[in-house]
Amino acid sequence: MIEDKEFIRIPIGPIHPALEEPFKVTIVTDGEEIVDVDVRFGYNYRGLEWIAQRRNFINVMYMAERVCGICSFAHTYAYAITVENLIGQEIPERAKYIRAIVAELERIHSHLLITAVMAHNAGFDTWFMRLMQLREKTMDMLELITGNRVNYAIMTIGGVRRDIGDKEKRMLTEYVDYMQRKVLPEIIDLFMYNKTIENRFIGAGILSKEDARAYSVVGPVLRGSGIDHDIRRDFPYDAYGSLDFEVITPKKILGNVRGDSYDRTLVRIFEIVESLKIIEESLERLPSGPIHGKQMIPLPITLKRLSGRSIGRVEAPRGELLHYILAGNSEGPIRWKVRTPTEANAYALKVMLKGDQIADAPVTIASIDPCISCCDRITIIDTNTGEKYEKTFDELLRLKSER
Amino acid sequence: MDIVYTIAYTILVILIVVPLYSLLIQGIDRKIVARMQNRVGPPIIQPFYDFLKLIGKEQIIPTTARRVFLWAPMLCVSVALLGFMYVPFGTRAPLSTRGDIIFIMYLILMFSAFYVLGPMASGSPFALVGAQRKLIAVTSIEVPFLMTIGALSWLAYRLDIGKPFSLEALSTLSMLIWTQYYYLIPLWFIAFLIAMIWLAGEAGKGFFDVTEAETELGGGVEVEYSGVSLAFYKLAHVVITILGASIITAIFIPWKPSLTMSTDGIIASVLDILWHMFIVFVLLLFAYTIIRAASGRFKIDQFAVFYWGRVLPLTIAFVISLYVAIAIIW
Repeated sequence: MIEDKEFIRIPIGPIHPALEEPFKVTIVTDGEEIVDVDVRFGYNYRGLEWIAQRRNFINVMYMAERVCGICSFAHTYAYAITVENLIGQEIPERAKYIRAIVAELERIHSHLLITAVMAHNAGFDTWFMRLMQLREKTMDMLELITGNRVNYAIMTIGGVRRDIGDKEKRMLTEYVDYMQRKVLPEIIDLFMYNKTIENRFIGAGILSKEDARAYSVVGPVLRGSGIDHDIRRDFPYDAYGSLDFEVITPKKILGNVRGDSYDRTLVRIFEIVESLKIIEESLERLPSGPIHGKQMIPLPITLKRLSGRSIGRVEAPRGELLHYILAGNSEGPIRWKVRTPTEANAYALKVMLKGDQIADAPVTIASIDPCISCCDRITIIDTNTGEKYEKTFDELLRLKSER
Repeated sequence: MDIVYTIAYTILVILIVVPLYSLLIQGIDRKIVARMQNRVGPPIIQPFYDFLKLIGKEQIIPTTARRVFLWAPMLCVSVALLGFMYVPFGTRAPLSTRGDIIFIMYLILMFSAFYVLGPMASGSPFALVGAQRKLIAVTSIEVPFLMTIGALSWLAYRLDIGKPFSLEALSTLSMLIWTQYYYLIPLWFIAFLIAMIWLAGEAGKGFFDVTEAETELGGGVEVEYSGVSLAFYKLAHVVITILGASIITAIFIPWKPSLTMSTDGIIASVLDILWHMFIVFVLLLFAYTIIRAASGRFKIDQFAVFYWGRVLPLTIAFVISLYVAIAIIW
């Protein structure tokens, strides 16, 4: 950081109207121009991994559900894939497609949410209201299928817990039809030809292809910088291998790549189109059969005998999500590691924001779709010596209650 | 008689009607925007509740703030309300005289100065950036409008209408344009357009919401204010917007009910005030409400480019064509 009195340091966060969740981006400004950026986490640390390592495998599923409020299904999905890899269980075809439907619905509502937040950050509240209305419709669909709006609790190891009946199927088809015919043309039209969006999104937070690689960003941020990469297509899991969809990059839509907030939003909006296609196709193909695999030995007993390590990757709405499990004949995981997309994306803000204006900062920060509750982690560093050290959970608890 | 009228006008219109109306118009604005966004919206008298509640709240003064931080909101409100001594709110303004348009312009600039004085004294970086933006905004907004007003005043002076450089003369000029000098009507419309763009900039919503910029600067200029100060600071901003709308009404839409009536009494004045409120509401509907619902915020450089690059050339073209038109005809 530049230590100079002439520059104004503006802290965006931990509490700021532009942020949905607490993290801190300190920007050093010269007039309106941003000279330096510092990104800090650690305001919402919950110690989830630590807690999970003291529970059994079934309980960790509930923990995974609650890692994030928006991509709660992606986390359970990644966790389930990890454990299924470990026990080598095949899941029935019908469950695979139901998983894809729920995952895509979740992607739609997540993308709608963050686009709405970006519009709000640019001062364009009318679009925010419109997008949130549509998101509400999507949430209703999720509630219809799973019974819950946020933590769906539909995923289980070896399948899903609820089936999609005729009524649900009909209403989903109606929803997809409504979105494709009426809503998406309107959204795309407004997005492509609106003056406010052009003014504020184009050129805000440019991340070049090289920088995207160097900071190893994931998801829409990566694709917005023009790199064609999607876990669903490149490393297909469950039903995605047989589903037909396109990976969106700005080049396919506009013909050129700028790598700015506009491109990232463009990727998100057109991914909604693809998600709807996936849902439509999954509903058509939905094979009959059981939704849950049959085990010879009851699952808890299988899980207790687990040993080895395993990795599960899914394409969460925000990008590649990775779960890692190390098991060794114990009740629960010895190590459960969650690498969330935000952790990969957030540090790229340093490159994105430099040289931009203050007005670009909220839009750019929102454009990486930061989700702090998923990604928060702490490292305690003594600022005098630069030494890193660890604190135990009890010590942290004591520190918390002291404050 | 004149002293009685001045005192009555000060107490009734400036101290009661204008503040109440500025709160009411915020309520209507919020309701309309809510309906445009497919929401229900707050009740129309919500701003009254907000104002009263803010007055009862504790006032937090930052340790870095200097004393002027607390004076600034009061100065803003006083300056904004003082403007109505010269700008008619429906009925005749008590202090209007020759050259008052220049004084009014000074008042508006003075308001901007006080408006940034408080935030600058607060010591918050957010407020500082907001204040810097406000200064850039003021220099961008005022120049085209001042040029337009100057040109119109010059025209009125050339035609020997009313007292020189007074609002009354400009009102009479508008009426004459629509009754005698028909060929000036296109230019009148251009002047009206420039004035409306000025009003939108002064209102600072939608495209022009650069100084508060809630999601960027957390409220910008008003970020450190709380309690009574915040209530008056917000009120001052709406009052100055209504003052702006009143100036435009006086210059461009001077027709009012009392002109058609033979009697000249309290009833005529009340009718005039109600009519004026309606006109101001319609002007603000375009410059404040619809722009707020239909657009997002400019960046400050886009803001400056809009005024210096688009509006100023239009103004220069207006002034030149006005001069040419007059030169050809006389």
